[in-house]
Amino acid sequence: MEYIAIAFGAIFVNNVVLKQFYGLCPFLGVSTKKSSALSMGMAVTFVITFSTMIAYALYSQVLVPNDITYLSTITFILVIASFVQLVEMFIKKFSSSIYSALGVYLPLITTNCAVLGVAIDTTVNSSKLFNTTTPGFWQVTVYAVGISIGYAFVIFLFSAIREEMDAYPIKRNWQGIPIALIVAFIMAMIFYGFGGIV
Amino acid sequence: MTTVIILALVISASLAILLSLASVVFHVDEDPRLQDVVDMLPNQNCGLCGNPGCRAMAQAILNEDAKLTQCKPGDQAMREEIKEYLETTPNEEGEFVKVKM
Repeated sequence: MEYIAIAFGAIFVNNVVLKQFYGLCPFLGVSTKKSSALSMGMAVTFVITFSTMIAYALYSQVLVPNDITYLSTITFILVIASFVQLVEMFIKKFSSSIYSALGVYLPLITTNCAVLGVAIDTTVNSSKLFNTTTPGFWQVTVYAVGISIGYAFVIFLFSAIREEMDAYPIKRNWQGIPIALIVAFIMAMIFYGFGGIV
Repeated sequence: MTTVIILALVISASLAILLSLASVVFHVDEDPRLQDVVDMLPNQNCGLCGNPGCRAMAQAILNEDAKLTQCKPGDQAMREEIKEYLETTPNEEGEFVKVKM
């Protein structure tokens, strides 16, 4: 039950894009086509899940016992950058069409603040998020998976709306990013309503 | 202090080993000229040429889709260097790229 609550909170209530406003650059940049949005969501899911698990393990097993928590940011960035490299090599090997569709946004996952944000939220700032100051490994993992599913879900939904919008007559000066930002604003209002459930 | 140094060494070494293994497993054959052209471009990844990043620009040059003057930060010396390189280096089938200025 506790894990379901954490996952629901991470996917809907504390949605990484629409509530915490992390990772907006790929949210607007890669959401023009459903297929590329889905593969971006999957790449981000992989990176967030595994880098958060490793970052949490490093933080609680190495950094805290040795009292060197001031190194957390640089350690997390190292782990995240390596995982992004791994994902990039994997996608380049198995699907060059996805590789070219994602383009520069794929290496830019390194600088996606959602990834570092989750890693920091679950370790250094964990007292704000969980009831205990030291959340367990599985709580953190469920939270990371929930956050990344929330990211993939929202970016896919947004790209589906943007694809549908192409069929409607929109004034020329509102086409593209302006109307997309208004759609994102309405989606953020809808997701704000999930806060009343918990 | 020693803990920090040991920690940094261990983490970066293990990640480096992981990445080098991955680069062997996920190795992709590509045009050897691509990396050379990327090295000759300014590598600012500004996107002014219309391609997402310098690597995509280099690929476009090799596909004969892009003119060298599309690269705004690049100067005349860079353009002549790339032109000379591509006119003297064929690909594996012995074909040359027709460089557009």
